[in-house]
Amino acid sequence: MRSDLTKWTIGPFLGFPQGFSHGITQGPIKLELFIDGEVIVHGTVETGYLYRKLEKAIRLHPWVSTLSYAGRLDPENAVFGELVLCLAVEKIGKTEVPLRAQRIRVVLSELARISNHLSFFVSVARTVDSEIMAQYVLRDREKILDLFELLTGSRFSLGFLCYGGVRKDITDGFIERVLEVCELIQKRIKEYNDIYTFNAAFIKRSKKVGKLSKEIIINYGVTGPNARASGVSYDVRKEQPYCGYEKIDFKVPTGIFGQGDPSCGDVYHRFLLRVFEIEQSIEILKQATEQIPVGRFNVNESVQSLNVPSGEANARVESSRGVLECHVVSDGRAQPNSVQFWPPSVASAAVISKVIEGIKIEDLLVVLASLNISVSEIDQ
Amino acid sequence: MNELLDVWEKTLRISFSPPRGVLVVIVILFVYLLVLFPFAYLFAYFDRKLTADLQARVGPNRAGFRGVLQVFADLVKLFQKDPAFFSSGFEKENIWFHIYIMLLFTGVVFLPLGSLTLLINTDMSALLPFCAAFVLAFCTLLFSLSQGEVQSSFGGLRVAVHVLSGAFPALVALQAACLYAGSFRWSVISESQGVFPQSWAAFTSPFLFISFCVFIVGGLVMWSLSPEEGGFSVSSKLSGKKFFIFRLGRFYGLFLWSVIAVVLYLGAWNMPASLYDGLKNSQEYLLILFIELGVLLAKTLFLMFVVTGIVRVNPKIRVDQATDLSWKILSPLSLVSLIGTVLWSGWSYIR
Repeated sequence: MRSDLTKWTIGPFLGFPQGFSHGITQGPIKLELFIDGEVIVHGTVETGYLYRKLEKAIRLHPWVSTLSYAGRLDPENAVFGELVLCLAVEKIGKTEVPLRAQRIRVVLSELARISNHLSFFVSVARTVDSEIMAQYVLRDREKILDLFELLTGSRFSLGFLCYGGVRKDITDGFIERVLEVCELIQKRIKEYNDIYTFNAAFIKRSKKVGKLSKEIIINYGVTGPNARASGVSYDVRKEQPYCGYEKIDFKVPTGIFGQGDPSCGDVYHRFLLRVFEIEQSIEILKQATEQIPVGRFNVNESVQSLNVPSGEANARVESSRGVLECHVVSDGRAQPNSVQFWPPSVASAAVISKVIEGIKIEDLLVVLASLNISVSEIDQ
Repeated sequence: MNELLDVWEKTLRISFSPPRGVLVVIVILFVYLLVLFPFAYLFAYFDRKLTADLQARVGPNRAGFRGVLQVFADLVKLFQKDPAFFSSGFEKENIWFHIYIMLLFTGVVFLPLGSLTLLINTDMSALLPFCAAFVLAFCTLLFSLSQGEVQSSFGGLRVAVHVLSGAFPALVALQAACLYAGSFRWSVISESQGVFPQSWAAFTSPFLFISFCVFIVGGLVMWSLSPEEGGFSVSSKLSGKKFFIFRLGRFYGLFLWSVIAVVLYLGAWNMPASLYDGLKNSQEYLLILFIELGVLLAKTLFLMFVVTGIVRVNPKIRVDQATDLSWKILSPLSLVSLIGTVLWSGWSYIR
């Protein structure tokens, strides 16, 4: 490495805006950059400023309370943290979750996915300094948060799932509202394409910037939309279906626009892939809402009485950021023996040092935003 | 200038003859207190309201009726925030900030706001704002470097790059407009155009329309704030009064640019000749002053809103991309417009 480069630390304790609380990383992260003029030659990432002992806290609480903590793994995607823990515990207990509850879980997951992808658009818009673009998307995201509020009473930390199903049944008119929002978002995709996809200035800022090759994706274990944008076709919903995803017909948009394209895997493709994913989520929502059967929504009479037998299990879900994995060990006591999460943002954060090599400082935040990292998830 | 000051003496209706310097100060104060500050206030308010409307928000609605006092409230807040205006320990920064303020406040003498406020109306008047822009950008660069922060230094360098890259096509475009008018003198440029759009320079030939577009986009490149990403801008470390004055400087830049664009291409401050002659004969100079100001400022406000609307809706491009745009697209276009205007004017003359 050259020794004449300027070393520049961007960290949470320097009062630098992107260090402590910039919206794109949703938590503190420290970057140490070596810059040559405006070009970043080399950089390192340091996390751990949001360490909350989440796994330890889960171990210290009874099974019923653990789900609330799991939801805090990534506050913006609370439903995935709850879901993966539920699936792991249900595996240990060999619990058959009612079909109605499974469908409700799918609906919530896909709504959360759309919400997070819209939030991604907002982050990207803000990093290219276009507040108006951001506000247009936020306006639609509000509709999804309204749906969460209608069903669960909360807009972010839902706390709606429980072991063996969901806490409450869906309310009257909820399905109709979901379909209305689907229609709206489908119409809005055209608008997003107008203001982002076909916008010359946005293309200039995002094409051929922050490229992640297929090799890097595989070597670092990056999953989710970031991996699929680089042409790595892997989606847990297809490979290891859960919650009845195998009965739903949907596509995994992977590198369909990137075959032979040298810029495949750049910021623009990561953006475009999420647009396609929203379309697929809408398809899933339409099918899932049609397939909701009449019946029980929970196997347990009371969510307070829960006995998890001894054993251990592993579960994986496709969260909006990638594959979220959870390993649970139970020794038959009232508290779990061990709960470990492997969130997708860990791998995405690991590639930061690779992806920022050679980019310009002005592109730094655009690239970081395009990786859609949750520091909360990494630090746990 | 003497004729102008005579008119002001008559307008003010004072019995004694004040020194010329005092009259100049009065004109400058008039421009600042009755034009620039109120206009900055109005623009800031309407800009916030319009932006809020575009973003499906309400916008300022707390301070005063429909939030009209919001800008004032912000101003009070900014002035209370930083009691030590020029604190010790920042001497270098303060020197450049002082120079920045001085340039900013004296730059108003270049502003062509009407036939009665043309303090400098020489054969090279139209070029003077460019000199002011260069010096202001240079000053901003030194001011940002003196702050000793990496991000503000980057911001300052980007401001300088923006100004340098946008200036060339804009200067060539200006030459095309002045070629059409036959002079670089503000009064001549204004007189070469009429009251109605068909007689405005921008719409008299396709080449001048190209020149107008180049001038506007070149201005956008010149006055564009460098991207704020991660706080990489001159103002990232500013707060309180310094921040207010810095932002006023940025507004002044955009305002100056829009006024010049209106004077060069959009009919300047012209009113119907019969009305002007009638008012002049009856020595109603104050009325002339305000009508001209009204016409000019209305056009300027419209232009500023159009320009800021485009800027707000679109993402900001990187500084190297802005430079590319300027050198590879705007500069050739400006040369085409200049050559085209020469041929067009020559053909019209021969015919």
